[in-house]
Amino acid sequence: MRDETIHPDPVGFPMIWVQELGLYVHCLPVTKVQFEYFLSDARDGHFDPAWYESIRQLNPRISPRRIWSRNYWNAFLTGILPGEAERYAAWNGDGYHLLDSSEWQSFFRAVRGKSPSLLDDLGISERLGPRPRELFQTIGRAVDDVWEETREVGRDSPEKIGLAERLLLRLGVMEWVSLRNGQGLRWGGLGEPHPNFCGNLFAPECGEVVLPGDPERQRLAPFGFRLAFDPR
Amino acid sequence: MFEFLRRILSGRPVPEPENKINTLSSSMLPTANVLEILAEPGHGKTSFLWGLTFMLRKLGLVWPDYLCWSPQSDTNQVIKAYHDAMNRREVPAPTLQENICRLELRLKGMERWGDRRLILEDGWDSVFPSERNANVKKREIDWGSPACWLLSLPDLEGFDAQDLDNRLDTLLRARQASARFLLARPLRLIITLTKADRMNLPRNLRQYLKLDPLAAMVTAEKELFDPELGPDSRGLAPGHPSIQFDERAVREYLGKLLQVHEEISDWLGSTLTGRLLARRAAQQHVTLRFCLVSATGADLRSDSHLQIPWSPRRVLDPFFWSLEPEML
Repeated sequence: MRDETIHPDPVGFPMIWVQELGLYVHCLPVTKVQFEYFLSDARDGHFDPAWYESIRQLNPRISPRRIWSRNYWNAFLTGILPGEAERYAAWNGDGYHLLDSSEWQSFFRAVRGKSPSLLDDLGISERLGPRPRELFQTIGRAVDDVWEETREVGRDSPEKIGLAERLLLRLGVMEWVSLRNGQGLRWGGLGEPHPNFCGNLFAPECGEVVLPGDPERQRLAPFGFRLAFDPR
Repeated sequence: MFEFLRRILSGRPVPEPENKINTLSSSMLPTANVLEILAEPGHGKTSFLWGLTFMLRKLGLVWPDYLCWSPQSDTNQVIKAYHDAMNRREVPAPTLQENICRLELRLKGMERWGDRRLILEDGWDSVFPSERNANVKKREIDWGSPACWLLSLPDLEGFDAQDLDNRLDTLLRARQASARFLLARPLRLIITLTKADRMNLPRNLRQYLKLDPLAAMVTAEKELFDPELGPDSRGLAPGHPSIQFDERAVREYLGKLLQVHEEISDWLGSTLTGRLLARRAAQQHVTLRFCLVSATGADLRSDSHLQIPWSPRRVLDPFFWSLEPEML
């Protein structure tokens, strides 16, 4: 474990050190609040107000205080194309990139089965500014509530939520990941959105990569992303 | 019913299904299974039929001697049209009266059940017609066969507690008004909850849908032939040991089917809607079985098209129930 297990991204949102990857990875998918810093800084005409309006039509914006278990996915920036997400990554600085499918799956394997109390042990809340902290905590409470609402039939004692769920690798959004093979770069999705956001039976725990028909051009409401950061 | 589960759990042999026929001579047709599918408009009947016929064709991947075809060229054309539309990632348009069709399928070489004929009908529903079809002459339903009643789970959320009870009452009255009512056995009703991918289900039920071994075999076949997947491919060839659906696997599947029925029953029983349904069914001596299905597997769509391939989940379950008179 590195001394700096938590690393804030350029706008103060937390990234966690993943030893198995040798990378920091965002603790949550990128939120609209994070992306708005980029929008206010973007100099080209692509990311204009009309662009953001079209994005918000696919997944409306919500203020952190109104977040609960039936709308927390509104906090995330989704409906984005992978090329646009790459431009956001570049704006964050050298070493930031979207995860590829094997990095995402390694991240999932690294955290599944672990307890979310690990985040408290790392003192994550104390290391965040007020806005990221409020978002991180309200989303965390919403996900805890979802976990409770979907308790298994016939189970009396609640099953504890895992770190993978708290980091929204499940119950979150679909996350763009790159797929590299001999024929070049393709884009796919990993994750498992809340079914009220997008009906699905995706199984990231089985390594199931979702391959949309036209990822470069077709905006898909549940598709967002998270970034990795290589400090070397 | 419970005897069946006890036999599975205790390792005792499960009784042979009725009417198993292993060979087909020209003078002997396989036993006909009529699966009456009832649904209100918008509850997913056509999508379910697309998914069901798709998966019936795919069973050849796990049963080495299996064949699925129709002796009628019309049926073959209809099913080909279904599957072509699925390959284009289309979703069905609302069913029109003129689109009524009767599908007769021959299923040969099924593990456990041997050879069967399966008769399905698509089109507007004679128990729950849309307003547009309310005055159209009603099709006679074979009430002696198990009836598969499709109920859209997202729509159920908007129902009042009595709504579902009222609908069951409508169904039972339609049956009592039927000319075949007096000849029919007590009603066996397979309540099939559709569009389950869109619901925040209890985790064990969601896992049941996610980890459908028969859907996995279709995915494995698809990945095998997708050259672009490269090292990400997890494709498996037909007949691979991990996608066998042999006698033991079928028996385990049926045991799980029964367990899931009980879990759905418990889940619905925790609501007033579910308790009223169970009460009405018991009063009318109706045997209920519950299934969960998702015909498309996901609702990731834009315009009228899915953005990812169809991936039907557990759509064969109502059919498997209909093949098991002892379990019903």
